[in-house]
Amino acid sequence: MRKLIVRSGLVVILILLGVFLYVIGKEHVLLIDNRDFTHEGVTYQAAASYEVWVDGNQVGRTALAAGRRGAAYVAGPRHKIVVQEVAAGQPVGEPIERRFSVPTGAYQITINIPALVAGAESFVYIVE
Amino acid sequence: MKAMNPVLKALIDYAVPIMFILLVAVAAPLSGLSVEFLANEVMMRLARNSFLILSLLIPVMAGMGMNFGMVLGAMAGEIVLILITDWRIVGIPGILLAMLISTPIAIVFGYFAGVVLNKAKGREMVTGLMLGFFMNGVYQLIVLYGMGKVIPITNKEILLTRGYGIRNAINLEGIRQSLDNLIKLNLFGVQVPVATLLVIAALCLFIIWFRRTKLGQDMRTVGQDMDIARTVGIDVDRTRVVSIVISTVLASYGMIIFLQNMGTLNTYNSHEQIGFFCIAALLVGGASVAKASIPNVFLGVILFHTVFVVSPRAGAQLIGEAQLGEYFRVFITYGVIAFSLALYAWRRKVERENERKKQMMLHRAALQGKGGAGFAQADR
Repeated sequence: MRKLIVRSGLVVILILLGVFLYVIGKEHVLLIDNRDFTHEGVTYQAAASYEVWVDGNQVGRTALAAGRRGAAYVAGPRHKIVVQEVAAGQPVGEPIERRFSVPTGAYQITINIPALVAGAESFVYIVE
Repeated sequence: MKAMNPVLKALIDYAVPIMFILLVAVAAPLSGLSVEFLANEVMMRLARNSFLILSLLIPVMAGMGMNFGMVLGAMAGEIVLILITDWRIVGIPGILLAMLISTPIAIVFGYFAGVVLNKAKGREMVTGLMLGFFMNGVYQLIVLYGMGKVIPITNKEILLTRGYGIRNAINLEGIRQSLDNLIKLNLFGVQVPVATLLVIAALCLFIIWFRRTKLGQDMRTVGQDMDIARTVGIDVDRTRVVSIVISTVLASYGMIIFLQNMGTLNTYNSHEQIGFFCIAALLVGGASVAKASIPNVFLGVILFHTVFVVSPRAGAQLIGEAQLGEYFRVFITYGVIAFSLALYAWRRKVERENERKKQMMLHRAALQGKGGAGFAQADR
């Protein structure tokens, strides 16, 4: 009986380990939009260019101009995005840092920079 | 009875490694490849193949010869790699998850192989080979028809255009060299994948530890003589099944490590030749069907893969045909297996003959002893 309990416990631990690995290893595509975005009647206008870093890795080689879209591949549920406004190749103001989480089931996530800069919570949303 | 010259005995025992050392000594300078390039290639192949080849040691210990059934483990690893590619699990978690899920599949495959091999005692290698071919059919059925129909696959990139079945080649970009690049060291221009080597070292330690356990000792006893093992109360069949299960599970992990290094999965071919190449490398390292050790694995990988790397270039330099070097590689793989098996069979025959002569001499001496005593009594 003790043997059975130990073995069952081991199986449960391995299943939980599997679920944990699935969650932290799940890849997501982040579509980073520097485009106009309307949410619940509020429109966030894309006007400036931004350099974007996701989890410390820069998205694209150059700044994301207004109306452009970049993409980043990330794994796991929690991430950090840093955006820095640039003008004529020089940084303007302070960088903005936001943390966000991604649902495990979702593959494609869109991040809207104008909404992020405006401080809106809806800057990250799922588009299937 | 005349004892064999020790030098001649060593030459016969290590005929295959000696042959390969000579081959490397001739072909490496001819190839014109730099030492740094060669060292990088060999290091990469060492990291890529060693785990798979180490998985062959335990069945040898249990007297089951070279486990050609290791392709079953390789198939288990591949099936799971297809699944994690579909689920888009990447990096080290992807590799660990693949190993975790492949374990029960490899256990089932290994148990099946072990039971079949128990029914074919003494002919394990050819049975394992045939089992590999049979399971290849089952694998193709699962991957070509089951996946996308019975097993849900959502990733369109890996599905055939008809909607079910997996494409010929799968890009394993998500896990490509994740383990190799985890800790990388540049040692005199040679890229050393430290994390992969640590995993291989851990397996070596496991094998050394395992040999000293009760089960390991049982396996050695079974490997030496099954009748004696039975007499001392060892469950021979169970021990042999366990050895194949362990080998199959390790082979599935080995295949995952192999493919994360390659970065591409040839869905229907990757596993087919893996058994031959691993066995050939182990034999090149000086192992035999009855005896194989950890140093044999590393020596084998280094020699076998150095020849693999240099032979096309050496062929091109010598005859102006790189293709000849490619033929040479295939010829070497199968040739080494055939040569080693023939050498092993010849040595067994010589040993048996010597044993028979020894028994006859002892018998004769005993008869003479009896006769001598009789004469002595008669003289009195």
